[in-house]
Amino acid sequence: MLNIDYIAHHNGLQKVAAGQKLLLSIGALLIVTVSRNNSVALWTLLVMSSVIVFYAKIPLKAYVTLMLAPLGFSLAGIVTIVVSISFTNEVNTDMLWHLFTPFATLYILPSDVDRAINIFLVAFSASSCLYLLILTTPIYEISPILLKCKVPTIVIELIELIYRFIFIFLQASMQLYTAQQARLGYKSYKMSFQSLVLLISVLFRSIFFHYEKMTLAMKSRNIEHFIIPDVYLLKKKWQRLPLILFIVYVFVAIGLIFV
Amino acid sequence: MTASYFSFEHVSFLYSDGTQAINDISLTIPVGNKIAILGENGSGKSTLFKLLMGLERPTKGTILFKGKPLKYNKSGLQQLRQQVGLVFQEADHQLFASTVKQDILYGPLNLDWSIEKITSQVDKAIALTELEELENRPIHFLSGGQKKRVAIAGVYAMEPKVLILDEPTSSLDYYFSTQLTDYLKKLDTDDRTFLYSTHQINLVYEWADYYIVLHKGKVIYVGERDALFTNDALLQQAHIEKPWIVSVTQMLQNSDPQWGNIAMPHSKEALVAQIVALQKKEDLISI
Repeated sequence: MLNIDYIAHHNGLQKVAAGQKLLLSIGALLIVTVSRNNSVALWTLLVMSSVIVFYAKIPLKAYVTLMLAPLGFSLAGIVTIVVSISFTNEVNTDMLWHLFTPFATLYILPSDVDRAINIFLVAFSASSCLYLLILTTPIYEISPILLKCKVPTIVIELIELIYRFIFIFLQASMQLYTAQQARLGYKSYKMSFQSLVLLISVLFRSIFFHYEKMTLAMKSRNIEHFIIPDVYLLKKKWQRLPLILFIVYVFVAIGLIFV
Repeated sequence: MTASYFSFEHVSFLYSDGTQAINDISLTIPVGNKIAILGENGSGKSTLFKLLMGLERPTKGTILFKGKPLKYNKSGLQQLRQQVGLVFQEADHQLFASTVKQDILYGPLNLDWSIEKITSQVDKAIALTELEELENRPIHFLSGGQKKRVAIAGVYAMEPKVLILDEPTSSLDYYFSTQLTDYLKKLDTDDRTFLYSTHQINLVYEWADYYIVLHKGKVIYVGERDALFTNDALLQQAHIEKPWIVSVTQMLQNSDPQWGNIAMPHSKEALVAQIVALQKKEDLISI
């Protein structure tokens, strides 16, 4: 998690305007989810992955590891779509696979397999679109754009605060974990569970404590609102290469839909 | 009447769990002084600062700011906090922005200044605390000492009249600890008051010209340094280390009659100058 933020600050697309990255990733996301077309999904996955790895220069290993998470989720999800269950003994003729048990029959239909493959591809390539945004754009660059899109300030401020608190949470849990490990808190199975329970309860307490202190600090600095107007952010121009990439991508995608 | 920023009139503060953090304090915080707040752990220093910032209300007594009682409504507190800045002991509690520069920006942004003034103040604060190279670094990739410097820069950028530092050197290395008093010297103007709480006496002895000692929620000393640091009983009571300059001078005074009337110096240089002067006089006599 800490790594993702580090990558977002240090990558090949750092100098590209946030709006442009947002267009590329959200645009592709929309095309994939609306078209629900297998070849479009594969094409998107290809484009996004190559942009992430070759253009943004994010280490392939990091990207593959990150992609394992949505892979696991979508695979787990499609199992329930693929496998059907029947409590009667009616046998469908075009089953690909079946398993009789005394109580019910498990079976797989070809149409379900097609549907599952489609859902899997769409979900998987949609997550690659989001990764493109997450891995190349720090959160505070997105806030001014959200503000321009008339998202209420309170929502944006909440997003920023939640973002900050994720790191506080992670840092606190890592510190507590090391402190416990240093005193052999995870020596045995039983101990591990006890330590984990303690860790979680202390974590919540420390987060509330932290929150209180932070409120005091914000009060004492007179901070009322904290979205930084983009005058103070580094000006980033729209660049030609990502734009051309996007146009090419859209044309190929439209072509694929109608083929 | 000497000008003062704050005056406390019989102020007491009780935490909701019944801890008496401040017990019937009356004192004034003068204008333009460099004040060191000393006292053992749990003597009430941090609570005193919270009272000064209007973060807590005294349970008894009144606090005056520039001669008027503090108003605890929104605009009153806002006005107070524009003029009084606090650097928290834990930098992590104070920083919440994504990057260094943004965190420093937040304070000034809320002050209705012009864009030019804000940018120049922020740049000044960054230059002062030597953070140029870290400007666009996310906060959670900084070390403890770097975070502390960001916290100081963030408060400094708001140009407070009263600058409060709660144990600022607790996570700074030697270089930045000594550097801090240099920063403060640069910020020193006739009408700016500093409040600096610390356990590292030697760092502030040369710099601070006014001392407030707290002990169990009470003020047990207010005033100049000489009377404080020669009062051994008081130092022991409040767990205060004697500055080495004072110790060495006292040892000299007691070692030989010729050193007997050395005046208490306020800096290394003054001590050495006195010794050199005495030595020269002696050389003249022996000739």
